[in-house]
Amino acid sequence: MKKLILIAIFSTLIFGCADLVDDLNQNPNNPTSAPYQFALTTTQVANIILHTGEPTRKAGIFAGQYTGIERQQLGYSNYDLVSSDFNSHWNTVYSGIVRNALVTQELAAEQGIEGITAGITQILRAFALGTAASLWGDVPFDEGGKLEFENPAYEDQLTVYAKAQSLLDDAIANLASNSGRPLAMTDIYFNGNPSSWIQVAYTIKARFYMHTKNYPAAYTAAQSGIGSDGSGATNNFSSPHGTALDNANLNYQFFEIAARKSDLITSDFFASIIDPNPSRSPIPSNYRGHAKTNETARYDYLLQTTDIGIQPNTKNNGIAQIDGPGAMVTYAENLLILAEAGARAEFNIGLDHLNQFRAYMSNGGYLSSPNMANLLYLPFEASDFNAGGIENLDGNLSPSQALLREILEERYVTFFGQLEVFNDARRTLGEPNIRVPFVPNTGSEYPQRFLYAQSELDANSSTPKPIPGFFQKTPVNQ
Amino acid sequence: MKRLHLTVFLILFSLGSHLFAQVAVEGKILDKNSEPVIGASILEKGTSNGTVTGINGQFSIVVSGPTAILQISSIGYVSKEVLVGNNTQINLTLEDNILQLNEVVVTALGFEERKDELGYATSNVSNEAIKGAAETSVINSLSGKSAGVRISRNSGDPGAGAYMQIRGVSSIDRNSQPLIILDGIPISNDSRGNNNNFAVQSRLNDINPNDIEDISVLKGASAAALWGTQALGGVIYITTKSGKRNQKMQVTYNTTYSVDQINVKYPVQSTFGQGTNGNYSNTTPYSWGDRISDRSGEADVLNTSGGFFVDQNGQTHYPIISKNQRDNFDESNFDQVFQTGQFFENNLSVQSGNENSSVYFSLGDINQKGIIKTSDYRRSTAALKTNSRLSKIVELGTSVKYTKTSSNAIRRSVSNNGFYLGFLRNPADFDVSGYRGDYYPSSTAAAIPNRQRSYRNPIGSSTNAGFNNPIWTIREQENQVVVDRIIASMNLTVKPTTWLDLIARIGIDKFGERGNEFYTPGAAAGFVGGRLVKEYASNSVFNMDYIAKAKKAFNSNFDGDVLVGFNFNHRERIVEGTAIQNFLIFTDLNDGILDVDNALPENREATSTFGSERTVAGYTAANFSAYNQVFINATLRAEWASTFGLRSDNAFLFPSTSVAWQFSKLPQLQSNLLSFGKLRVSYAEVGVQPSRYNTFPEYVTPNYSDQLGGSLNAGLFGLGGFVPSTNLGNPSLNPERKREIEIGTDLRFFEDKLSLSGTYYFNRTTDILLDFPIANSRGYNQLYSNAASMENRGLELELGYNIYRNNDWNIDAKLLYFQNRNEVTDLVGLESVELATGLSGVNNRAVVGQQHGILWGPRTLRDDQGNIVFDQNGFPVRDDVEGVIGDPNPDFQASAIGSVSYKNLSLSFLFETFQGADIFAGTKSVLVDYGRWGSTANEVTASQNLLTYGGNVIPAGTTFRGEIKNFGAGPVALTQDWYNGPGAFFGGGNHELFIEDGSWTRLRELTLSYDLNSDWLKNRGFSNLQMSATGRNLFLWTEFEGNDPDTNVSGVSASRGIDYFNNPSTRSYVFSLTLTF
Repeated sequence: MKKLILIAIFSTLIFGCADLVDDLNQNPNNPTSAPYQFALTTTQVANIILHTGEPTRKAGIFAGQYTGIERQQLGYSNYDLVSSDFNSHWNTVYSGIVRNALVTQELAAEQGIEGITAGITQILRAFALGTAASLWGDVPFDEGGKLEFENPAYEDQLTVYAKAQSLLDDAIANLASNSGRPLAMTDIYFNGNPSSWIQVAYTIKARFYMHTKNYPAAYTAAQSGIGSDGSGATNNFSSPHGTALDNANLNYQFFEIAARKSDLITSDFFASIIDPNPSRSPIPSNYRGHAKTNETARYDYLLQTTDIGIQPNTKNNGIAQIDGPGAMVTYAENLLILAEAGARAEFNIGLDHLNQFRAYMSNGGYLSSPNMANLLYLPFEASDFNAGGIENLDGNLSPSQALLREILEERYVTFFGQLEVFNDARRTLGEPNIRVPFVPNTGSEYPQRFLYAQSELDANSSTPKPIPGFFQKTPVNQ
Repeated sequence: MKRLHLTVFLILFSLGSHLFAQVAVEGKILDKNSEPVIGASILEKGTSNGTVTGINGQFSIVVSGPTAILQISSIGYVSKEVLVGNNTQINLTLEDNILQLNEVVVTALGFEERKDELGYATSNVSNEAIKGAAETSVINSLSGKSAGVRISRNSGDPGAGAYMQIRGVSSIDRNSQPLIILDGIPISNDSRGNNNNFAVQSRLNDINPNDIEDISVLKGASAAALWGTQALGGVIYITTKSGKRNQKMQVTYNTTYSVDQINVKYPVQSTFGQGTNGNYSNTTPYSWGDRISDRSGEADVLNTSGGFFVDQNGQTHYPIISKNQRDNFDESNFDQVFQTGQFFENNLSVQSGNENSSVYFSLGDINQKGIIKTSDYRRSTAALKTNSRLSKIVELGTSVKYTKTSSNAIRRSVSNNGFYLGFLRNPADFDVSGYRGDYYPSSTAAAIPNRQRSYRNPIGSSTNAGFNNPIWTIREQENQVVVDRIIASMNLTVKPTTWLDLIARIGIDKFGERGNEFYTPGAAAGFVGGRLVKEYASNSVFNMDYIAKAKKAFNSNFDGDVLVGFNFNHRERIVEGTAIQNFLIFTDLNDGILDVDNALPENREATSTFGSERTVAGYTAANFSAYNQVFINATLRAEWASTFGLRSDNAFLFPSTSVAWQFSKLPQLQSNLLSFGKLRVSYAEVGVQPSRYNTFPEYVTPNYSDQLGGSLNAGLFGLGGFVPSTNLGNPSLNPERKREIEIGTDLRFFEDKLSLSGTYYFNRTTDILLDFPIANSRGYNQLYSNAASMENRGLELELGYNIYRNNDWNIDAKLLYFQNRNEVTDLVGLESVELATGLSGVNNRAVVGQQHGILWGPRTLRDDQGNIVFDQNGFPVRDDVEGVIGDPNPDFQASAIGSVSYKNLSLSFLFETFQGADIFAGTKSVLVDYGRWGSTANEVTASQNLLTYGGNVIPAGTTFRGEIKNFGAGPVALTQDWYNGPGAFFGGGNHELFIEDGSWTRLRELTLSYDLNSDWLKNRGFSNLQMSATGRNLFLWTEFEGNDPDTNVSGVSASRGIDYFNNPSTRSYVFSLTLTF
């Protein structure tokens, strides 16, 4: 009898076992779903990392604007890079932006919100993928950010650019639908204003056409770009920041807070271009100012001298002030695209746009509360570019070339701290007369790309082989 | 009743087979203290006729006649044979068998078994061996004592935990440390918060080693299989001390004092001062400056026109324009942060027992001060264990253990706020004394108070000190951890009949861990505005086992037992914490104010997590023995667990079986040479569950890191952010499953004087769970899944020899050898998987075809033929693609244990060796880069024109600071530019160049002890006084420089073999006095 009871007890226990462990594995610490607006904001935050964070510092080093003096940054400066140095950038593009943009679009659609919200996510995705193509060359586009593809296929760089353009067109169409505006405050850039986004989309299109050297198309797109409606810099696509440790301007975090601040300074070449002060400038003869141009205010906005050396200005009204915006795609860029693309077509068109830019700058431009006495950007005359003119003193260049040289230098200065300096540097490498004449930090070759991430090499069998090297040009620059 | 029936049956049975000339014999078996030996086996030699002694040691047996020989044996005693002759009454005294004191071992469920009858390998570590190690922690005291076990430390910090590994790593990501069972109850051995910034504790070290009676190391899957998914890494079964019945009160008092010293120091150079390219500079991080002895020796030329600094001692510091003084501060800097460590330990225990109950009670306290000033550890324990016989059939045992520990750990390793990083990089000509004070931007400006002064911030002009001044690290930062822990268990045994035991065991292990991490504003790197982290973690393990155990002897040749059991195990953890940065009101460590409101709301961060998981199982085990020669054991566990999510309905089965054959009992093998021989073979399966909460998708608020810079928290933008986690859960998970086959033999020769035990095992773990890295271009980083597999094969040998023994002398020696080969056999197409922690430059990985945890990082570029590729100057080119650069796993480890005793004096030693493991000399690599490593002061004369890395020519005959080296393309000059480039850590370092041999041999323990038990003492009520002196880690033989090669940046982790500014280890002289009365 006892035995029977025991057996009964044990049987009950054993058959009841499964019930004892049911329903205990749902994590009470995290939700399993979220409304679309939270994904939208998150995508936009990841976008800030790609366009104003460490990738821009690497781009700056490769374009001769920064010099690494210690530790990892010193290695980057010596072009000693390995694939794992790029893991986090690759991750930002695909896990941070592309996937989250897709998730946002899908979640919003489930809630019946399309149109503007869909357009915004398309812009973010196209911007990230076109940028990835500019940095790495061939990258996954159609299959990027989609879990269902085990080894996302790589597409030719030019195909990616073409698809990015068409995605931007889709975005513009969606934005024009004037419906599906995202929940207030969740679009941290334009609060869902479709016309601002449409202008941004056109400037991005123009930028990508510049990358592929399709200057006429770039000019056309830029004509609908930021400020094309006379709104000036109001619609600048730049990152908003606060004063908390984890929402401050990324260059502030790097150059003011992080230990690595002591590893990186502005290159002598770059600092001296805009430094009017011969006793401070590392190479006084390099200063670009003249009777029509005074860069004092711009220098003060961009740079400061610290214990480490000359570094981005982290003080109030500096480019890297704690809550200062991080420029990604700006009115200034749009004007300079018009200027360069225009100049490549016809001297006068280029000159007009350059003077438009200088007019903008002479009112303070993108500087933050400048001392107006310290800046001067008088309009250029055509004769300034003739042999012997102030922008063609040695007289070796044709006026058109001299104008392009001036525009490229202006771009080099204006895009300080942005990825675009690296794109310009590679794009114009074959134009020695007009390119910005920085020299490689070491050896004679110029950096040509970001290396594919080690994490991707490890896990995606579609990654191009042989792995292209650091000095191997991407197709658009060949 | 049953018992009687059985006896009658047995007698009748034997009567039936030996009908002629029977003689009835009675007797009593006693031990040397005249206590009865219960359960001793009485066997008529050459027959199967036998019996066992009863409760008073009495027996009765009917034998075939006067020529019969009785074999009397009992575990722990020397067997005897006696001729019956005309005696009808035989009383015998059995001698203790000192050689085989550990013959009884406990199984995974805590039942005693004869070791000689087991079909798998176990080894025991006795209380004496644990105490002999003179370690403050249980884990460390196991070092070198059991073949197959590896104890890896990571630093000599007080209270630091250590990693235990039995028979190699069996899992890639899940913990494969052994399960710890304390008196039948599984307890936590967490190392919570393990990372490379602090040497955290192992929770097993909460147990006072003085309370431990014995530790059984159940190495293989077979030994551990009854614990299913908790037993992947084997089981360590700890039996704590208890009182004995019928024992008068015994009080033991023990006091121990230890003096601890730094074990190994880094060789640094003091020839050249702070600077770069041979010139002095007082802001550079490098020590590539001028030769200190070449300076004039006059006062330094200072810039007194601008800013200056007044330190905490009132001393004023100005920027140095020209450094003229020749002082070398290396020693004084060392003395300001290091000290002679010490610990003082006191233990008191009382045990007693009467006819029906027994009690053990103890109090313990250890108070340790580390060799780094301000580091400390204190552990206070109380233990009570009782056992009562409530009736003839009911016994109740209870045990309560309380532990309180508090410690302060010094930040270490990969952190500019870390101790050694700031200390070792500090140039020889920089005095660290003034570490905090007021900065005056000019002679007329107001003071800016509370700035940190360091060698990179010599007048405190920057808010960022670069690297911490080491005094700042120990005086202005702390990481206090206070733990309260209670382990309580109840054990009810009911014996309704002689053949049945019903057992209920209920245990709870609960600890609360309170942490305060504080950084005074001014700390280098990231914590410039001050940081405070307050955290409370509560962890509990609740476990119940209900077991029914039945014994049956079929006849004298065959018997067996069977048990069935039910296990319920529930684990819970709650962590609540708040962290703030950028204090509003300045507070420093001395203020002791820990106010989480002292920061803006956006600079406060709260964490709150809850986690629980539950496992239930039914299990059964059966033992069967035949002819007292073949012993068969089989077990089966059916397990259900919550961590399988929707699949928690599935039962997972874990079987095991083992066979032991005592072949020496074959009559053909009886000889004086071989006194015992056993072959054993076993097969078993164990596993590990998925980690909790990995079966459902989750949304998280990401904090996007800006590599090398800061980060952006999506929660601080818009209305907040949530996206799907980039780590994907998986609804269909299986347990990792390890299948192991083990064969072995235990042999004893020359009347058991020489013993040899050998075991070979092979195991394969399949379905290894991984946060499987997936292509980032899919938009996710990791997918949790059963994917990988790996194998271990190894050999364990234990050789023991009682060299000499008489009444006064006893000389014992023991050799242990262990080797394990691991191979990751499948990663489902992945080239490699990075393991947690490690460095960004060099990390531990799983790579197919390699041993687990190989070192991975930047390496030298080689062409298709494997030849090194050189640059135009003759230096090796670094490969853009990282790869395998070293293997931190040893080829083998071994130890030699010896003891010599003469009367009451004894001397014992333990040598341990660990051979063939690589280590990445990360500290060296950085110090070489910085011109601080000893050998960077070398100067050589070029015998021919030499090129530097930068392509400069050093003409023949020139003496320069550096080295001449031929990488294979002719001699080149290694100078600062090489070391700042790929030749050392930073600047694109080629880390393969700093993979070194991490083999070591050490004198782990050397103990001299003396037992005083004279009449003089006895007359005064004392029974024994033992005095001992132990040297721990007295000698270390290794080629690795700077730190103990048994160091590790990853802390308590299977990832080994990286030294990167890890805190140093210690050498100790320990004196102990034990008084018993």
